[in-house]
Amino acid sequence: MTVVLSVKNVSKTFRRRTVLNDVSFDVRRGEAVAVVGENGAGKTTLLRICAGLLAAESGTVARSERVAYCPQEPGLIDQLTADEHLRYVGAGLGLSATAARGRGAALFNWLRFPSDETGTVRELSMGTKQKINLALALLADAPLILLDEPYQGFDRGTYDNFWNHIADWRAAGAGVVVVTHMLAELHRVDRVLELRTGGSWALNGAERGVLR
Amino acid sequence: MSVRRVAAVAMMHARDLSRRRVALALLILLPIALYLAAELGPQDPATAELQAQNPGEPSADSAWILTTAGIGPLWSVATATLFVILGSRRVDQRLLLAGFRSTDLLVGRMGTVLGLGAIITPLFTALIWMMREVDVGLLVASIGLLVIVAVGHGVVIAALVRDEMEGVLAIIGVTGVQMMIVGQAWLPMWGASELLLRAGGLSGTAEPVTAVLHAFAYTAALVGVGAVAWARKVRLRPVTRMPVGAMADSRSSGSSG
Repeated sequence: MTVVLSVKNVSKTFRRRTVLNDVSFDVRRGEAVAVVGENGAGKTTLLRICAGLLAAESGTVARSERVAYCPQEPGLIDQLTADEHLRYVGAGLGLSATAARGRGAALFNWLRFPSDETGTVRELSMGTKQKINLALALLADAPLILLDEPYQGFDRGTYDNFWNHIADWRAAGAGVVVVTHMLAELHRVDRVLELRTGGSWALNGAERGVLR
Repeated sequence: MSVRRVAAVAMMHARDLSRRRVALALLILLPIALYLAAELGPQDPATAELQAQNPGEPSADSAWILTTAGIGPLWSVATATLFVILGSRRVDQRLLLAGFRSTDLLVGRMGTVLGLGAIITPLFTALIWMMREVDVGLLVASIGLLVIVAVGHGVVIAALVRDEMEGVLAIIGVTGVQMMIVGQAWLPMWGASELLLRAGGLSGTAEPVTAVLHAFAYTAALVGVGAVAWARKVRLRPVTRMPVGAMADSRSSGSSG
């Protein structure tokens, strides 16, 4: 299987506090890796380093040219509609307005985003904003998908659908890294990267959904 | 930099700004209120006495009023620039990952606020023209230059501060200083102000060509410094890029490896 993300000996400290210490792992096409750990253990920091949004102090990251990154906080513009967000991000991806809308419509349909919703982001609920957040990340149709707890505010149906869809993305050939606190869902991924406060870490198989 | 990407940025931020109706109204009305207060407010008694003694001489108050008139669009457009650039910082990283360059974002947002300036310039020109005797051509040119210099102020401040509060305080400071110190060529607003004084029939110390060149040179310097700071602030960190096709490629051809 082709490697879509390769993290080698990545370390990061904030104000002399070690957050990541020599972390190494690979993600291949068709593979899902969950990143777990308590608050402040460095999960978001690791994902941002993988995306190229944050510099590591040491170590290297190699990843696919195109990446789908879904941040924990929706990165949206309050006074734009969902459709305008699709066209805006789509322009960066080189998509025409029609292509961005078409791809976005399929993603919104899957996410159960109300098709008649034409209001600006400011008027939407947290869960609905989060659906736009995830759809914009997936608009890239990238072979590497980095998700930082993207389901916050989702209703139950969309939440279940989200985890089911991880299997679809794997089947489609994407490598998925998902930050999560939902330990009950770990049976749905191939491996679990556990980050601990102080920078230590462990990479485990998740066949039984239990961390060693 | 790509024209298509820059146009997309400018268009989306124009939509965003146009929907912030109260903020937009305040950006336009507060400088107007500032100017009208200076124009219509009671005259300083000492200045009035001096003017009564020299009826043929231009009033010192006129210089003050015109300088205040110039501060209005400077403050307004610089603040709008700050908010258009910094207000989108939560979405910048997403846009970089999607393929936008930091220069696309900066130039596009500058285009948005220059559009706002194109609305403010005739409004201010008409207002001042109604209130006092002016050379309309020079007035339009000076307000237009003030708008351009203001964009430079907004860009450099937005690139150097962390959030809107820091930026607004910096703009208040910078515009306040330029309101207090008149006639100093080292100040960014000097060239446009000189032209504004000339438009109002007051003899500035600079020739119009010098004033115009000063305004453009200062704007270029401000935008240049801002662009360098922006490119350092809004960027992707180096990662090794691997030539892997899209998820859709894998669906059509099967995964390899």
